[in-house]
Amino acid sequence: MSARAVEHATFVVERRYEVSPERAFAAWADPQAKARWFVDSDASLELDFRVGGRERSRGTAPDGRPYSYEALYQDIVPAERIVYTYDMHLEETRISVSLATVEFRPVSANGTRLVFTEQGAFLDGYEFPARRASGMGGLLDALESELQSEPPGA
Amino acid sequence: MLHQRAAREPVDRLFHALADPNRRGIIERLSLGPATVTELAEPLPMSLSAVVQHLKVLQVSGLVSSEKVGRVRTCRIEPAALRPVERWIASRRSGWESRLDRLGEYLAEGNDEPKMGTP
Repeated sequence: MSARAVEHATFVVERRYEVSPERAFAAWADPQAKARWFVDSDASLELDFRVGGRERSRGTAPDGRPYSYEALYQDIVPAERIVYTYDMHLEETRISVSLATVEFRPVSANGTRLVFTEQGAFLDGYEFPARRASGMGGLLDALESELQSEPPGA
Repeated sequence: MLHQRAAREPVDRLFHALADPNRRGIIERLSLGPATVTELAEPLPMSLSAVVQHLKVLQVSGLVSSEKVGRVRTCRIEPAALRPVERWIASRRSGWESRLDRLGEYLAEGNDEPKMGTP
């Protein structure tokens, strides 16, 4: 797909964890901890977690093409908030530029509601390879998960 | 309000088209490649005219297009109807959902306390 296009979109994903906001935050702040859950097992991760610091990851998409991720940390409030910008490349092509906000909200005695918000500029209609590989079945799965996901900003 | 209503109509048609298991079956068959109406009808427990009715709904939704050459009508899927960018965004979102589930598993293991001296 070579046509130039920009599509703007925002989505929100929320999760509740039975740990304190401090521990949930630490899983984002500590490079070794973050590598345990953030990237696929074959992907690398470098993290310089401070305002102005960068994060880089490289891996292989399901169709074999290399992808890369680079983030720049814009705002960090320990145990409360992380704001960063990031872009994604598929091979040499930049496919998206996003602003991501992670909020850690205390709930009950020792729980955290994590709210992840991504506001993205999605470039030139590139598809994510996983969806292309799995075809229409994957598309219907995606539709189903869309229907089941909670509406953002309740 | 008018604007919202107009914007929703194609989505309504899309969801109506996808709401029927036989039509989803036709879409799954066409995702393997184009097929004639007769080929589509063969595995389905329904008459040819019922299949034609389902195909009409699918064509109105934009999910399927067809072309008649001589006496044979061939159908193909139009993935563009579910806009690629929307697919892409949905997959980005589902990527985050599984990633945050992994974070939950990691936190539930309870070994996320900082370890001194591990490389």
